Amino acid sequence: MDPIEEYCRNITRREFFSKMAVGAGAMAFGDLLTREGLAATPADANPLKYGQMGAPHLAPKAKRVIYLFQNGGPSQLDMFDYKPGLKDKFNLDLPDSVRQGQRVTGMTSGQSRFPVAPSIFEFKKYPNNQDGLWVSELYPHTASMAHELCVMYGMNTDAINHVPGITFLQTGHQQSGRPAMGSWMSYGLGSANDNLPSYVVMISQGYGNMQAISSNLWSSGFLPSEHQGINFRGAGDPVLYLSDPKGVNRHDRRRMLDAVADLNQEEYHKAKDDEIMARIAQYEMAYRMQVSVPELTDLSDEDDETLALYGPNVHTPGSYAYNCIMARRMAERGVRFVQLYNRGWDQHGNLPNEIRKQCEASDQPQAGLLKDLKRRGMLDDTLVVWGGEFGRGVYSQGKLTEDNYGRDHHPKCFTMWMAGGGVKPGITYGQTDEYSYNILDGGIHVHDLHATMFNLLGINHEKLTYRYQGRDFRLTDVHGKIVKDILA
Amino acid sequence: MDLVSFFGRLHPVVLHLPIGALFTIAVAELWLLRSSEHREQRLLLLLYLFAFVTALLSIATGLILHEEDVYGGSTLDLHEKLGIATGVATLLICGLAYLAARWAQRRTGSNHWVTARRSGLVLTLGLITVTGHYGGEMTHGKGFLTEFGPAFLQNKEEESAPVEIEVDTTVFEAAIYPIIQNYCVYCHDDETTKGKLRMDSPEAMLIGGRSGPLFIAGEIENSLMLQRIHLPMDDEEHMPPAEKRQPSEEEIAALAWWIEGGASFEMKLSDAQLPESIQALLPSSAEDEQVLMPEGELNLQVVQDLREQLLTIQRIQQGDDRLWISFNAVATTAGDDFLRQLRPLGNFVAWLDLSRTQITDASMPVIATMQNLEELNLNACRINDAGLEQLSGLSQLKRLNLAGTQVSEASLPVLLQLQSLETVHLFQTQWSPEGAGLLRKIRPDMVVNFEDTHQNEGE
Repeated sequence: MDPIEEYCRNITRREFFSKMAVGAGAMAFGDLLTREGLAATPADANPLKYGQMGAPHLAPKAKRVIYLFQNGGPSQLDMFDYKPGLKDKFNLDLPDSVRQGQRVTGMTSGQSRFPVAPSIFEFKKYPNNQDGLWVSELYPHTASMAHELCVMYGMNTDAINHVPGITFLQTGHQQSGRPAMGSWMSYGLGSANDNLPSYVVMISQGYGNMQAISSNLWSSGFLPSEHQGINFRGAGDPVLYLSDPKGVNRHDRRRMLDAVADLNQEEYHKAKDDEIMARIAQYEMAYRMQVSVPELTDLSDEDDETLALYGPNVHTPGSYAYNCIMARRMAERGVRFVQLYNRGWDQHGNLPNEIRKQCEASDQPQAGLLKDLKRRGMLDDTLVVWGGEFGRGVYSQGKLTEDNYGRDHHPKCFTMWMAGGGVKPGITYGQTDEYSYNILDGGIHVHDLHATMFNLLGINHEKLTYRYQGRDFRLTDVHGKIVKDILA
Repeated sequence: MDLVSFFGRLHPVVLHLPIGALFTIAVAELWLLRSSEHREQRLLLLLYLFAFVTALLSIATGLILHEEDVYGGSTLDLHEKLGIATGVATLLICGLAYLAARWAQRRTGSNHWVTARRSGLVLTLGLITVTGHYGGEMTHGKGFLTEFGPAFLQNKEEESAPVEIEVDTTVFEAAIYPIIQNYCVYCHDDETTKGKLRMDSPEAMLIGGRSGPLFIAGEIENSLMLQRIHLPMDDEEHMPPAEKRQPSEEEIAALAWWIEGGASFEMKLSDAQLPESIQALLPSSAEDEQVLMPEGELNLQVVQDLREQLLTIQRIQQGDDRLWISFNAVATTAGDDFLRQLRPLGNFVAWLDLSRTQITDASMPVIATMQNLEELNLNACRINDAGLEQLSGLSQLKRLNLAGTQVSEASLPVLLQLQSLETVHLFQTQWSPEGAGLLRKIRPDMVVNFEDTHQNEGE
């Protein structure tokens, strides 16, 4: 709706007259009337209406998402996309017929040649529900879950740099300002636990070159701001300013919030700014989170067997292992979208060394998460997504030696995997050429991934829209094809 | 000649004048039933002349509109012929009115011309009514008048019988044409032919209409039919018109699939790889998987009360009253007493997530009444075999999560009684590997998730 029209509609006849009235007495009378009007506004709503959609467009296969974002662009060549033929092409120039004039970043565009750098890592074949899954020695724990993984070799994106790349995967657009996927989900489906936010973000630091990430990535954009992601911090209080200050008890807190809410309501009736209502909702959420978050973050009720699944770092707040077990705890408490960022995959130089550490820190925790979900029967309706913003190129960035090389960004193909939540388990999908440079078949564009994920969540990606600046926006813009072949 | 076209567009305005005039004359004739005064006969003559002039105007504007090509089809032909006939009839009664007026001026006594004039009027009124009806059918679509009328007025033949599927039935006949028949044909047939477009036969569909071809095989984006369907509801060009019933999401998807696949009129059902959207539209498949909709009225007050206690209660999908109820937010405190509050919703519960709650076997009788339950999550609940036994009557149950409970393989007979069961989770229970193996052997179609499901080593 036109914002001016909306504003006018929100002004009641009473308010109009009360505003027109001159003199203190009339003002006071008008105020009384407004309060009376206020009392009539809440309730009455259908208690079965959740979010903007009311109910999912179609019965969801996945009730929640855990998105393990590997920030920096993990090298598909060294982890999943097995190209044994490259061993013979060591240090040969990448044929122009493969590169086809593909634009490369400023970091390698000046290189005089593009020498092929085969992965130095050994690959093993793990049985899955098809003819097996090749995974390198870097990821043995993850590979042991091959029966659950749907590995997509044909992912591709439009961006060649980090910020546009991540922003594209998270919001469906390369420039920031659009709502993140989790915000769309929260907006469309509503919350499944009124004590916790429906969209939570956790960040873990990596080992190598770490790219900046910012709250733009989990912003609600033009959607009401109560749908933005809540960033749980890795150290100290998970949520800042959540605990009461010294000397303030919970009863005082309640009274204070009620008083502030009254003032805010009053201001809302004058200004009609929806952001004021969003702020009231956020205060209420924070109040409830004072109880729910300590319970959520207290790992003392986990048994040793479970903790062992996630590896030795599980007790270190902020580690990937800690965030993984927290993700499970949030999922079982009804958080709809848990977004993890695991930083440090940007291995332009010294790749073998850095990726080893990076993989060691992430392998067991994420495999542990899958096992843990499986053991609780939660994997069936929890969609786990793993992947970065793009892949890495086959040619070496910088000096190529027998045991060292670097890789630049590569958007034309990269590997992601999903598990659970209505995805076909134990399959691989798509195929790349012998250089893992171009897609031969089974390409999945970022928009297609979004459409497919939304489909699993019961959202028709073409229908969940928001009218802003005169047009209906949606996560997939005017694109997105559901990849039916990977749906169970 | 824009001015001429503009004049043509006045037809819908002007046509009301002769209608009004003729019915006014009828009233005047009744009022002057016994009068033979010359003055009054002259007044009537004047009125008849007015009716004739406006009728002439209507015919002229109508003919111009016809040239403009907005409408076509047999209804238009009929409307046009009847309209001209009405005009001629009006001219004739004008003549009779003139003779009647002259007669009344010269002599007194019974005036036969008056009788003739009145008979002519009745005939003309009949003509103009029928003409108007066909005109209305063109602008408002066929069946507009009787849509909400009594049953005997409705045209029974319109109701298309479901297509009988045979070996050589084409996809078009079975799934696509019924959609078109439902949403398009009432304006785009040989009778109405709005926009010069007919959609009542494959041949006609291939010809297209005034705005061009109806579709381009293989090109969804460039196919006019889909473009019009996808326009926003408030767009003038949106099809079907906003006030008419609209095709469902599946039906639109089916049309798109058909066009994308080459818009074949010949492809047989038996040869085609049908997507779900098409399968859902086929007459026979509707019966295959019939979802039992719960009976009775959902008690929203109970829902409201439970939501205020922080329970999550959602419909599983739009247009479906079955519920997904989750205790996620209250798991640490909710016990048997809490669950009892769900009794009034029993029939409607399809998915119930009780994981980590404090409920015990005492809650099982409540769950046992949920006859439409498809998914039950009892993960980490204090449940054992005796409790589970009470659930053996849940005939719709497909997914059962018992992980982390006390159940043992003594519950094997119960699981076997659950005929619909597709998936069961038995991690961290008292089940032994042998028990799980036996269950898999007896029910190979069932997914039994147990400790041994994934132990993978690479080679």
